Amino acid sequence: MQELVKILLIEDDKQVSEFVSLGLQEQGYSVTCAYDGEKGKQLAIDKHFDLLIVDRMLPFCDGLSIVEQVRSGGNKVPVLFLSALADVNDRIDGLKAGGDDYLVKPFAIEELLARIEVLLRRQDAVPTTRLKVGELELDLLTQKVSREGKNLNLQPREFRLLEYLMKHAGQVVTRTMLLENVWEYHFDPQTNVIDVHVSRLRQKIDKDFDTALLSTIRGEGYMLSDS
Amino acid sequence: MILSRIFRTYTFRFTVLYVLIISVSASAISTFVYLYIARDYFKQVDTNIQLELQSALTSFQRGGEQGFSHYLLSRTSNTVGERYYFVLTADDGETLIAGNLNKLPNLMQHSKASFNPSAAFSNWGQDNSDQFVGQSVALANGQRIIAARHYEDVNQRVELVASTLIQSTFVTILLGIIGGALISANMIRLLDSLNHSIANIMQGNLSERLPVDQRGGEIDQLAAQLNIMLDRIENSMNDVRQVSDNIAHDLRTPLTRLRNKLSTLEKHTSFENRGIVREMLVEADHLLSICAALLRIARVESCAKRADFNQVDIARIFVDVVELYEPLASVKDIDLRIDCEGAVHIQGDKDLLFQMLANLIDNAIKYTPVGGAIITQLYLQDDLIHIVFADNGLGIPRESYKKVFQRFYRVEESRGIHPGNGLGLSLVQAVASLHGGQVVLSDSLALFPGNQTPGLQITIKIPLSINHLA
Repeated sequence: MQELVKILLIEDDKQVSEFVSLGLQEQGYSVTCAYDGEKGKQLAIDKHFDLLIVDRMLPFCDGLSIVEQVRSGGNKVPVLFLSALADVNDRIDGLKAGGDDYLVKPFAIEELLARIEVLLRRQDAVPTTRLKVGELELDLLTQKVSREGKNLNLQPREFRLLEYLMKHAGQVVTRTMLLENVWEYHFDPQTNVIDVHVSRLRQKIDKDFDTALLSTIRGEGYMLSDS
Repeated sequence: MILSRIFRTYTFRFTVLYVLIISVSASAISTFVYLYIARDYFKQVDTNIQLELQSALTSFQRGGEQGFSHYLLSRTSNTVGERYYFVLTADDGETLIAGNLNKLPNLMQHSKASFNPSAAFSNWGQDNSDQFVGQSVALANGQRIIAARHYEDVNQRVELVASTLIQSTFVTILLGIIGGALISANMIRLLDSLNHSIANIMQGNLSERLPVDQRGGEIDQLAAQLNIMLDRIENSMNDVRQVSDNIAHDLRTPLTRLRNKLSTLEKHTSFENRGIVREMLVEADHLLSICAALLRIARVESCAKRADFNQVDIARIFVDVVELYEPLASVKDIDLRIDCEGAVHIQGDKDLLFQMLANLIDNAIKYTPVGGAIITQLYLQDDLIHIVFADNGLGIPRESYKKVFQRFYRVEESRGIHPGNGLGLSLVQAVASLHGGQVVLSDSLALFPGNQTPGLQITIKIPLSINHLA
């Protein structure tokens, strides 16, 4: 039997903590909860976890210094910050301290799950210049995309969109994740502007072929996968 | 023009009225003084002439022609004082026998010569060199003795009085006008500085106050009162804002929980109920986005975010926004044009600027009919970055231009037709003023000449440097 993925959740708000750990357990993760910074820090240093979810503002010891101390011991465990602080500089502080991702409260549980999935996979990703999903191929050096040997002509932004989707093939990618990583802006689109970009991309990579690679996951986001 | 402004002030009008009253009373007093002096003076002149005539007559009766000449000599050798003229005629009453005049004096009518103010004025400037004021007495044999004074000599003194009085009246009026102008100019200066400060406060930072110096004059009292009023306004505005921010903040957590429970329910509910749950999820997301938008505006308006400013290329952000929304426009078959300069660096918040521009282009696409056109521009003019979003749609009524920035305000026609929460432009304005800029609404006819509908053009003007705001 495959070993359970172990997640440490350091969050002082009991309700948020309960809701998040329920959501994670439903996905088959094993969750350990800590309700203050001091206890969370001890657990993170003493025991092995596959992922840390850390709130920014905690009693006794704040999230940033927990992660700094964990990292100073050479621990490369993926860290996701949760925070009510949404400013650019707060985000930058979090990433500088050693966080791998930053999610602003309030968030939908799907958003959190999608990001956790991405963080867990990142560890075993091998740097490569060619991405391949089924018969769809993307060459990062020549900037060429082809499917079943046929060249596809993509705009630069479409190329980056596809690159991100292919790097996270088989995972749900949310609209916010696309905005943050492909457009590199943190903002709240009022309309379905991302959907239009994705459907344009879909036209190019799926329309003339028998199977659809890029699918919409209702209420969550998109997924590029072979099956 | 400062002079025309002085004339329009209340202070000046009051001063003019005051000067008018002063001049009327000054003239009345002057006239009265003149009349009084003149009446006494002419009476005195008459009496003196009468006395002289009497003396001359007595001298003649005692010493005949010789006696008269003696008297004449004694009266005229003395050059100091009033100068009298005496004449003795022959028995025809016309031919001169003796006297210090070489012809018969032309005596004035008594009424004209004596106390008569109008005479003094009507004769002004006339040649009176051979006019005399005098009296004559007829002797039994037909001879006559005349005693007279030169009219100009007599009149000189009243003329002096009259002209002094007139001059002093003019000086009074002139001084009044100058004083009024000076007081008005001073008042304008004081009120101008007050007006200027108030305009600044209403336009920008409501927490600023009017300067009050310690002398405690009425302008200072006014400024102090206005400051108290501003305190009240600011407090109540803050209260209202605080309440709405608190509501948004307090609603957010339970709404998030509600949304999360709904999303759990969506996975476990029966197939036929799933649609309803999904609709509820959409509603919850809408409510959450309103809360998020309100809180974002509140944060931006607090101006604390200036501390987080970095160097950003606003032209890059602009191009990214337009590029992000381009497919949305092409879905509606809208001709989206972009005209942008190269890199333009300012101190700012990248994500907020992006959000601001995204809100604007999102609105433009929403309100432009299928097949319409949108022009977007970014250019520099007078150290101001101009960012223009213009569409050739219906536009909005001119009287709504101010209101669209209010929270939750939506132009009546757009309610129910276009999705939205009425917060987009509030954020646009908050972000623009955070960067020291302003938002200007107009019709778009300059960019779409000959268009049937007015269209809407929104121009953001942001200064290249906001150092002076820091």
